[in-house]
Amino acid sequence: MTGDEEDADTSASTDEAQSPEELLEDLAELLFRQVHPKWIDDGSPTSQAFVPTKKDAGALSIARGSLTTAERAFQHHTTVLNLESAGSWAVTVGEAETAGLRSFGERPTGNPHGFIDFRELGRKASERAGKILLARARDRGCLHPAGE
Amino acid sequence: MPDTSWSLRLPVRGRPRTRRPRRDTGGSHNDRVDGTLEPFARLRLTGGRFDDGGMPVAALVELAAYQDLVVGVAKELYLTAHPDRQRVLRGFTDSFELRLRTVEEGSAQPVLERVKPSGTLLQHDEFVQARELIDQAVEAIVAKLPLPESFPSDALVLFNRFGQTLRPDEAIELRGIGSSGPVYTREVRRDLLLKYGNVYLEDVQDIGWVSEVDGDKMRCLIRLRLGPGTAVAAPLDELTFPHVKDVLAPKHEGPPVRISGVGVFDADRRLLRLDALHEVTPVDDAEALDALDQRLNEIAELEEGWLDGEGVPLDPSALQWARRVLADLMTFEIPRARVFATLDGGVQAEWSLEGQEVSITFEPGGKLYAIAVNVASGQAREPVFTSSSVEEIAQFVLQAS
Repeated sequence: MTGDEEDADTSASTDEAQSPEELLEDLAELLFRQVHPKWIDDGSPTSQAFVPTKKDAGALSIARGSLTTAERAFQHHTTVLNLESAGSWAVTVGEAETAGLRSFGERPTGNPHGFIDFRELGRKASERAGKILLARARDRGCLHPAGE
Repeated sequence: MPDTSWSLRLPVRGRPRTRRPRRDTGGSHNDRVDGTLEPFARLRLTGGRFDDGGMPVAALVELAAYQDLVVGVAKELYLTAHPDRQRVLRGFTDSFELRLRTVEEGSAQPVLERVKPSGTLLQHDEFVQARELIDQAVEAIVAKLPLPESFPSDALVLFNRFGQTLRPDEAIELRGIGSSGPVYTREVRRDLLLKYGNVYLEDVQDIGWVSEVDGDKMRCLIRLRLGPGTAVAAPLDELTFPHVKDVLAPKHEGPPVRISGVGVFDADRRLLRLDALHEVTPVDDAEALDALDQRLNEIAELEEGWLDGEGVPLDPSALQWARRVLADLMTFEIPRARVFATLDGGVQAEWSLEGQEVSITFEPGGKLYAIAVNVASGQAREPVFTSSSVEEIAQFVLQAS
């Protein structure tokens, strides 16, 4: 665990302003994940889409369901960030927790960007967690564009 | 779990069988042999099929090929020692006979014993010299050294048969009568053969499409899935001809067929033609195979930075490996995998089977990574494969179903 993360975990209630991360505790909150079209086969994303890449440094980017929608998250990704996406898939904070992962939002509050924390995980644990997230996201299906 | 494969095996013994006392029963063949055998060579077969105990019956051809190799080298040695002769003495070949009575433990270790011709003493003759020279030649190739000068180059071609059925993860240690010896592999065999000529023979198992059949010349053209882009010639016989004819479509390629045979390869490992065609059988699920190939072709086109600036093009070896294994897995009734490129140039195959998420990653550099996760319990299996055989991979995937 990094120093920043420890702050977010232990000091959030007493000194929120000093931590850029906010531990998400609403287990039902949806976390939208954009999946690149090259990582879709036969309608399903790869589990790689639910594991951070090297440049992510252990933080799997998501958009918070309490602050945006699947559609707005998709549009932000494709038009503002100008990146490719086949659609918004989603897991909940609780599902990530079941996979052994904590989820964080970013301060200042109101910014929909957040991340699921893989920072302490090795390959096996990351692959395991990614597969559990994939299964939950696929159960839910692509939320936008619908029918993807 | 369904039975995914079967094979016949000879049992191994912890110790060589004690020789029965010689009996005088009128001179039957067995009794003549019994008591007149002397150890000639132990071939220790390791890896792949040989690590499961016993000796696969299909590998017995290697023992016959070894005997032929010894005889061939011995003949050349004899002719070199007798430059006035054009051929060996009558009965020379028949004077050398190897028998297999024991397969010892330690992978599979057949003990080859030489039949001593009646009324003679075994000595350091051409056959023993041939065995020693074969060992020295293999040793030299392993050490990247020139062949022994006394090794008859005309005999090198005989290595085409010996080791032809070896798989990439298998080897034969030529122990002679000692406790260790040089290790003979597919690579060593290929290097030996390329010392002699420009081509070598190797077993081929692949999927192909027949595009032409010539009934008069008993040959056909087959484009192989893992082979060169163009069709190669293959001989036909009475067994294979009807099967090949059945899958020929007028003016274009017919449905895919699984073939096994012997290929002729050049020094760059390119398949030039098939020297023999043993088996031709239709592919069970041609549509799934087509979908797999389309997907593999799709990811083969990925360029540098294909994932929002990240990602390198696929490693050709990893792609070829995935192409072979994923098609072979279909013969184990494993559904077509979802296939993805990885950012470092590998290929990842994924299945969702009975509440488990399973993946196999063909990584650049020849590594295989596999993991299966029960998404309800969170339990993960991350096997370390002892070989890269399709059977072992299939067993891993099938454990999830």
